[in-house]
Amino acid sequence: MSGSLGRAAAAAATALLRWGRGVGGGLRGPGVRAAGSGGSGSSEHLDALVKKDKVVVFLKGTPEQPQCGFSNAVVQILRLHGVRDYAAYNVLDDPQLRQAPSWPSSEQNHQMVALSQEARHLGIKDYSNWPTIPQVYLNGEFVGGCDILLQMHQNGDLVEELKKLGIRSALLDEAKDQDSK
Amino acid sequence: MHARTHARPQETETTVPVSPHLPGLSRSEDSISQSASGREICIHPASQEFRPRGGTAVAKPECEPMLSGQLVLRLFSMASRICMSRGSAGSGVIGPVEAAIRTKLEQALNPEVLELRNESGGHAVPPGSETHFRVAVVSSRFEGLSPLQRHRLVHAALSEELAGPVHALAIQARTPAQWKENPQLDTSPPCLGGSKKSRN
Repeated sequence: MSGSLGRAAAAAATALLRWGRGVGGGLRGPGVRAAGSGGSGSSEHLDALVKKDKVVVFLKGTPEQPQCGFSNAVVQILRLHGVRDYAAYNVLDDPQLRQAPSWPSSEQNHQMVALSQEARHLGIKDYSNWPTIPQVYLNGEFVGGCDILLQMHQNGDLVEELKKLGIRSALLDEAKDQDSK
Repeated sequence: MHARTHARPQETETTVPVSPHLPGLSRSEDSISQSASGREICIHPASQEFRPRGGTAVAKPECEPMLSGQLVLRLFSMASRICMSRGSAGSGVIGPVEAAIRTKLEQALNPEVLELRNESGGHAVPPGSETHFRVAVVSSRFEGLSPLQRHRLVHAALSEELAGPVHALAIQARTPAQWKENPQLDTSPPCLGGSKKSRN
């Protein structure tokens, strides 16, 4: 069973999992929620954010315009599974949320670096105890980053986890179509 | 099955053309073999490693059984682009961050296999940067641990680097048995510009 789903996932992966821009492709885009202002990095605030929705991701950029290949990978995987209604928070909009590293580099704009050096509030990296973006939460529970989500996608775990949340993965329908042919 | 390769418009490197059967495609001393099933194409390192700029690992495409050959080819062409990417003059020099990562992981996890690749050249950072890495760690210490727990072990060993210069760390954390099934350092997706908002 998981074998055929795996092949369906693989077929879907080749067709759709382009490491490119996250275009909606006719589907309604996910609910992209701004993290909000004032105390955006606080533990209570983040706690509320990750529990407010079943699927919560912290990205660089937005699902419509990811600004990081790894963040885009998360967007694409969710799209493959037909998860449309999820909360995506753009850490690039909020340096406190992101906890930009204190090492200055030309990738950062200097304003962001100054902010982060001055006020390293509890941001998402501390909250999750995870040093990188993207970050994925399912049902209020931290799942991991891009690598782990990809692994879950490939081994069928993601379909199961989504099912537990009452979300039926689109890949199940594809697998059904494949099997019935 | 047809091979699908295309260069992304904003990239200037040539895509290595590939065909499903990859006859005689060679880069440095890599040799190609085809697995028994015929649907996977794996690249095995020859005695001399291909050294991308600043890296120590051989560039190998992803070769998971769950992925079809097409995706493997796509990822391989990406790997070629990433490893032959624009940026610094590839001298094969290992930077201090890379050396530190290797040392700390060896000490913390006593790995059987440790493949580390500096992928900074494929991202919007200056040449010679040590900001983006991919690592495959094979250790029996991962037995019985979930992927999350394994990754946290790796993070713990590299907390200083991750709090410092390293922005991105792609991790493959495998037990020896898992690695045997699929001994490949994956490739990372292409950079989409990061915090540079000028990207269109």
